[in-house]
Amino acid sequence: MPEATSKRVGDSLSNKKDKKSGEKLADTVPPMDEEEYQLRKRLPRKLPKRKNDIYVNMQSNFKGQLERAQRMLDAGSNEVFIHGLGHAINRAINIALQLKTRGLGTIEVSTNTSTVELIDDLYPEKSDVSEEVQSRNNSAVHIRVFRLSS
Amino acid sequence: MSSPYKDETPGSLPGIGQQSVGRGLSRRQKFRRKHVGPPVPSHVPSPAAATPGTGATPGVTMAPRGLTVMQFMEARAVELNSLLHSAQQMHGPRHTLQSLPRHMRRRAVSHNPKRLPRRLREVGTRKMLQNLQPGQQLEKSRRPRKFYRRRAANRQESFSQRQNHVSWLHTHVWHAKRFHMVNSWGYRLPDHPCDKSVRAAYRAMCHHCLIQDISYYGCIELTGSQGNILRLLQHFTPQDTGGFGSLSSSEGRVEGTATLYRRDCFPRCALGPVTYVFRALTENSQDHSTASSRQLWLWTHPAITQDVLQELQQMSHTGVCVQSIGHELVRFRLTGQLAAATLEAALHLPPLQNETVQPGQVLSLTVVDPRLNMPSKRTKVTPLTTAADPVELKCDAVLWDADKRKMLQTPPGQNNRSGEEDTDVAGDDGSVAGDNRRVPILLVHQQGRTAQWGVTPASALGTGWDVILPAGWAMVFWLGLQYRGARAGGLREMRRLQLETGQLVFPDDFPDTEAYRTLHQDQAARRGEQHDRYPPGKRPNFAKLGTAAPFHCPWDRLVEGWAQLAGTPSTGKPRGTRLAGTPSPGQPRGLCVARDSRIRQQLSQLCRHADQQLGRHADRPELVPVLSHLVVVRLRMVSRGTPVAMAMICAPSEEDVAGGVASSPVEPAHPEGMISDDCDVVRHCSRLTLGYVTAGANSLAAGQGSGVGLCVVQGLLSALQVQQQGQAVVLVRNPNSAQYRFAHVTVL
Repeated sequence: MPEATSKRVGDSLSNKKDKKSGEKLADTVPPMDEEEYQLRKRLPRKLPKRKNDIYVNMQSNFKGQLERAQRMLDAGSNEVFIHGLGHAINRAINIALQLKTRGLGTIEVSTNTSTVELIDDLYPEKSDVSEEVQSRNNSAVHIRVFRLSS
Repeated sequence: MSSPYKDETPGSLPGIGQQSVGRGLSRRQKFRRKHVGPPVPSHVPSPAAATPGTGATPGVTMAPRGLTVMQFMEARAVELNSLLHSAQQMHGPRHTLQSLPRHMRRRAVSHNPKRLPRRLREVGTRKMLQNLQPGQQLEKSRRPRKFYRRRAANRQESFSQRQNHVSWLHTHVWHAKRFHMVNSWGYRLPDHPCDKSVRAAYRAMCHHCLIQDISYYGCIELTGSQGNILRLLQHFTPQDTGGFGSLSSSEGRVEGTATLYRRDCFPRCALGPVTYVFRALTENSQDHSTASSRQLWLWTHPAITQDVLQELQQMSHTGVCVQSIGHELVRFRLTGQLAAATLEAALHLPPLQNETVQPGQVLSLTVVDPRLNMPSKRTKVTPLTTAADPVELKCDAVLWDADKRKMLQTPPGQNNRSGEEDTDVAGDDGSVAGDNRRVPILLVHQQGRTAQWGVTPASALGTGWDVILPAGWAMVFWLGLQYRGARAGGLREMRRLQLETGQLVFPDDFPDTEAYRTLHQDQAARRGEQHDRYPPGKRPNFAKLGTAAPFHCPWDRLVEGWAQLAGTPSTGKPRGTRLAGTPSPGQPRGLCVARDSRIRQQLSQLCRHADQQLGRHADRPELVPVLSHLVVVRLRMVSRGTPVAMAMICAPSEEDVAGGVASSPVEPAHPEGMISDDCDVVRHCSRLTLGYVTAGANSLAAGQGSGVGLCVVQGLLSALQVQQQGQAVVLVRNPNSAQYRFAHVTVL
C-alpha cells in the first residue's frame, strides 16, 4: 500500500500536480509596461482531485482547513495529501505539522516539491499593441500525511 | 350386477346398520354421524352387503382385492361426463369482472369499465354494451375538467398566439412549469425557481453547474470587409482605445467586450455593453483577411438590441450589411466548476483543459445530438479524477453559414431517443440526411472574476462556458444538459452571480444609458406606490431619517451638487435634457461614467494606498477632466451591515475614521416634513453623499455584506483625504436606516 501511494504521488508530480491556492502576487513576473498592458492571471491548471486531496488556499480560514484534514484522517482514510502552491506553501506545511503534532507520534509526513507553470494574459491598453501571453513558474509542495500502521 | 361395488352410492351408506349400531354410540359419535357422516366401519367392509336393493346383510367382511377400471368408469359415466363438462367450460357465461382474481375485483365495475385493469377494459366495455337493455344507454362520459376544457386542441398554435405581446424563449414551457416568470424587455423570462433555492443555486454556480437560458440576448450580424466593420464600429466606441481592434478577437479566437455609445457621442449617451465574436479565419483566408468578407456577431442586451440595430443600420452606406439574427440562435450559459465536465458528458467532447483555454476563447465545433447518449435518468457528472491528455479540437464554422443554419433549425425526430427510430425521420428530411445527427455549435469561454490590478484575487467563481446553438435545437440540448445535472437558474441567479463576482449588471449599473432610465423610472414608481400603501406608522419616515431620495438614485443632482461644492460649473445640464432622444454631438450633456481603464486603475491605486495622501487631484492631471464623472465601485462591509439598492455612499469625517469601526456614526433625526425634489442631495445629511449603491446583498462568497455602486470621482477623491488605513473606507447608509456602516471601497 505505501508503494502504491508513493507511486501516486510520483504520478502527480510528473503531471505537475498542484493547484489553486492563494498566490497573491507573481513571484517572477517579467517586466512589462503598465501603460501598455494590463496583467491578468489565469487560474492554475485544474487537476483531478481524489477524496483525500486537500488544496490549501489563502482565502479560507486556516483552522477550517486544518480541521478538514483532521476529519479526513479520523474518518478512516489513513493518508491525506496536502498541496500548496506559492504563497500557500507555508500554510500547507503548517497544516501538515500541526496534524503530526496532534497525532502524538502516530502520524508521519513525507514531502515532495514540484514546479508549476502558470500562465498570465497581458491585455493591451492601447489598440496598437497585440495581446500577449507569458508563462512563469511557481513552486508547489505536496505533503503526504499518513498514519503509521504499527 | 356381478360386481359387489356396483350399486355403491354415498347415499346408500348411511343406511347400514343404523338400527344395529345406533344404540351403543357415545354422544360424540352421534355428533359425528349427524354432521360428518358415519364412519366406515372397518369390520363391515363390504358395501355390497349394504346395498339397499338387496336388503340383505351377508356376512362378507373381506375387502376386494382389486377393481376393474372400465367397469368402474362405466358405472359412473354420467357423473364423470358432467364433471368433465363443467371442468372444461370453466365458469360458463360469466362477467369479465368475475374472471378477475378476488383481490383485483372492484365495486361498481359493471357501471364503470375504467375500474377494470387496462388489458380487460375493452372486453368489459363490449360486454357492457351487449348487456344493455333496449332503450338503455351507456352513461355519458363526464364533462372534462376545466383545465382540459380550457386547453387548446392544438397547443403549439395557441402558444404562438399567446406570444403577441411578449416573446417566449424556446425553453419557455419547461421554465414556466418550474419558475416564476416575469415580463422584461419584451420577453417572458424566468426569474427564479419555484422551490426555495438561493443556496442551492449558489452551490451550483460555485461547485457544480448552473445553466441559464440567455437566448433573450440579441445577436446582430455585421458582414463586410474587416476594415469597413472596424471603421463602422469606431463611430460607436471610444476613439483612442479601439474597442474592437484587439488582435486575438479580430482573428476570431476570443470573444471581446466593448461599451457602445450613440454615434460619435462618446463619452456621453452610452448605449450599453456588448460582446462580439468575429468569424474565425481559416488558413487559406488568412492572407487577404482585410479584403475578404468577414462576419461579426454582436451580442446585445435585449433592452438595447433595437437601439443598437437602428444606430448601425443608419450607417448602411459604409458597405457593411447589418441584420439581426437573434431568433436563429439560442445561447445557454453554464457556470461553475463542473460546467466543462457537464458539456463534455452531454456533447461527447474531449476534456476542455482549463489552463490551455484562453479567457474568452471561442470554439466552433460540430457535436453529436445529445439524445444519442442520453442517460435514462438524471445524473450528476463527477469531477475529473484522473488526468486526461489535452486533445486538439477540430473546429469548423458551419453555424456561421446562414443557409446551413436555416436547414438545421428543426432537429429530426423530436421525441425519439434511440437511433433506430430516428433513421426513418432522417430519411424524410432529405436535405440534411446523414448530417442530421450532428449539430454545429459555438462554445464561448466565460471568464469569471479576474484579478485586476492585484485588487481582487483570481477565483474560479463565475468561470464557465456559453453554448450557442441553432434555435430549433434548444430543447434537445437543454434537456441533455439537464440530464447531466446542470441546475437551471433565472434572472435572480444571474444577478446573484454578478454580485458575487463583481461583474457589472446591465442596465442597473449603467446610469448613463437610456435603458437604465426606463428601468429606473418603473422601479421608482413601483417602490413609491408600495411605500404609500403602508400606513404611516408602519413605513419608514424618510424625511426624519434624512433620506433625500428613497426610491431612486438622483445621479444628476448628485453630480450637480458636487460641481457646486467644488465651485466649478457643472458640465451636466439640468434634468430633463438628458431624456432628449437625439442629443447633438459635440455639446456635452448628461451623465458620464468613467470607463477608461487607465483612469480606473489610477483611482483603484488611490483607494488602495489612501493613507499616503495621494488623493489630491492637483497631483493627478489625468483625473481633472473626469472629476464630474461617475465611477463604479465595489463595496465590502468592514464588519456589520448589508447595503441595499439606493443606499447612500457617504464620505466619513476625520472623527469617524479616527473613532474606528466600533463607533460607526448615526444620522441625527431630521425635522419632519416633505423633502423637496430639488434639495441638495450632497449636503442633505450630516455626511456628504458621494454616490449610491445600485445592488447589494449579503455575499455568500465573502460571508458579509457587499454591493456595487457608483460614486462621483470628485467626491471619492475628497473622501480619500481623511483616510488613515491603506484600504480606503467610506460610509454606507441604507435608505430606511439612520445607521452608517463602514465599507471598504475598491474601484471596478
